Amino acid sequence: MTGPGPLGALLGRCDVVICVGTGGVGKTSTAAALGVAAAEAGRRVVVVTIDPARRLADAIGTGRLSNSPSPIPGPWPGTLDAVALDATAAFDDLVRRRARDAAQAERILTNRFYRAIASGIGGTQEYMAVELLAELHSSGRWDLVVVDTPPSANALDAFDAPDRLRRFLDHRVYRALTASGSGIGRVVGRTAHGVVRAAGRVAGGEVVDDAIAFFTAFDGMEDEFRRRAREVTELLRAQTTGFVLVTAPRADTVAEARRVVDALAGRRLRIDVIAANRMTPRFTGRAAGSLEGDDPGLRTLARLTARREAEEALLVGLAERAVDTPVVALPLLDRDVTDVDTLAELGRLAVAAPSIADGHAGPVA
Amino acid sequence: MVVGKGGVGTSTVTAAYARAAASVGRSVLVVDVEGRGSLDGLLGGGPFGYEPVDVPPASGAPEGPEPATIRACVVTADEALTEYLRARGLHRIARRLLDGGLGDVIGRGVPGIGDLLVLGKIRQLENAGAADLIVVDAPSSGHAVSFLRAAGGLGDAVRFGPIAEQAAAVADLLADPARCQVVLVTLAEDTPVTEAAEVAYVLEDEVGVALGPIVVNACETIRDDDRSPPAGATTDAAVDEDLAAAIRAATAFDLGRRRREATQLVRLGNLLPLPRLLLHRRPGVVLGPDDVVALADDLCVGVRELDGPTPAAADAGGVP
Repeated sequence: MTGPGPLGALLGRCDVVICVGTGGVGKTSTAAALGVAAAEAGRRVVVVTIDPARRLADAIGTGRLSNSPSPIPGPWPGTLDAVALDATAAFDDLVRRRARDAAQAERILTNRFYRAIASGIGGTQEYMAVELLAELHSSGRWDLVVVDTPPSANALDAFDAPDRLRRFLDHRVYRALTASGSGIGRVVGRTAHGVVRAAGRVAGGEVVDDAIAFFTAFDGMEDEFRRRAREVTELLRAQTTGFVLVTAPRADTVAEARRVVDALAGRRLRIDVIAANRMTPRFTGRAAGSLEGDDPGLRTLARLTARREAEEALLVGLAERAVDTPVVALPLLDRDVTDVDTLAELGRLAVAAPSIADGHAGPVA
Repeated sequence: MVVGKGGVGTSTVTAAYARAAASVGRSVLVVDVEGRGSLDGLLGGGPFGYEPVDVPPASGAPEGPEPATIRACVVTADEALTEYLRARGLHRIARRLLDGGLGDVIGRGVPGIGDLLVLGKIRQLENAGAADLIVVDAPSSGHAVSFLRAAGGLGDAVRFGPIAEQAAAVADLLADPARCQVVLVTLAEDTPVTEAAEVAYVLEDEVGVALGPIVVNACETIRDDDRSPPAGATTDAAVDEDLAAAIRAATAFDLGRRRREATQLVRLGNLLPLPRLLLHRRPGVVLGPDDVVALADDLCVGVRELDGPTPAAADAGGVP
């Protein structure tokens, strides 16, 4: 066995690993595979998945949504637990915990505006994923928390979630609505606020009424939310928190990965490893162009080798852009990733995969 | 509306649909609702903006009648919101609203409003006769269902006012199979097949939108002449042992993929009894206008087979 590659090293030095990336790249199975690999290395691991495909969820025992981790038995020296995030229920719990009393919680939980926010629209899932991560991390029960993030069109949403919540709470509309405590008379007065009036003209007064009722009910809880959002941001920026950008060898996902790499350059966050999932395996050290002949088997080899070369060319462009970020290639397996054994195999391949900048892109199959 | 989970190739299929429709003489407007530029390289002629522009004709298109024109535009929520505000005399405030991040707050305060405004703009383009056919590259990821649900959801939540009217008009469009159909895109793989079936039922039952044929993208085998040789079929005695081993591994991998593809196509047929159109996997990794022309040809052949007289033809690409 060769030494660990960039992903193996990351698993060794971090206590939080967050997988980000666009949908359809195998992010959930990558997160689960990294969790299995770390458990095989003897660590106590919990994997947070979001909306796992059903057969994968069955495999890791998270078929039912629940925000409390359940153990996955396996032949590893460490331990492995998994939890499938139910963002709506988690947000409801948070409101219940932070409300002054049951009546305040009830007013918020039954508000239509709140229900719309809590049902996953506008980054709630992202925020609840990092919130749950912080909770699991601070519990001390695990050495490593691996988090899969929601299948967002924008891989950066997970990074921005705490800041967005804070910005939302700091927004002048919110402040205007809650500045001087609650009270129906004041609320009615505040609807004269120009921006609120504009929102009413766009959306109808009913929507504004719901929003005002929500903000009024929320009054007094925002400091706690703000403080927590700051803590979570600090955890995301900690040295022992690692980010893995999962991508696939397709033009659109690589373009998105490139945007993420560029966008992160201006922030205090970084991607530690880019994992290109579902790469066509390499069957030969020869170049596709040298595989000429009419033999049908040789033509198949030439076709798959040419595809692998094109995939590597895409990744080399990405690696050049992400100067200090290693890019590793994970092969497309010959079966679907729907059981723990396959996850373990993918995990072993992942921790050993070398950086493609080191001159070769993984072993010949 | 071309709908699929991330990574199944909805933009590619959108572009291929546009080329296929144009090749049979229908003028097409392609609408990108995310503005990520994913259609630029596929259609050629981008980057596209809010105002529709002509897409250059495909080079090397097959002989036949002159294709109709294709135009393309990008309709994002922010732009649709700006136009909506302007149309309601809020021109002056529109910029302030958006610069101040209020688009974000309205978007949060009225979930789905961005989607509704985008759909409203599409309905307006349809109403204005912008083209014989409008092909929408719907948002990818899990967002497509909430995108199409926006009208119904907001119509329930907001019973009066301009948004309610907009929601009703969009709901009418989505509910009328003669005006609007969803083309689901999937891959012949386990998870995409499961998800396509789930999305199909949600769209039919909860959104009430009609489903057109389902498109299975990136198939290795569509017709008998696509089949690969059996593993180990090498006859060339001149190859060395290393190469022979590589050939065995590659053909076994290829054969395994094709078997799983055939299995998944059967599963798809059982889960989702819809007519289907199979598209070849293109050899390249970065697809361009030439690939789109070839895929449009696959679509035209597939449609002819669906219309064809023999049941066997409709089953092409099934189990070997």
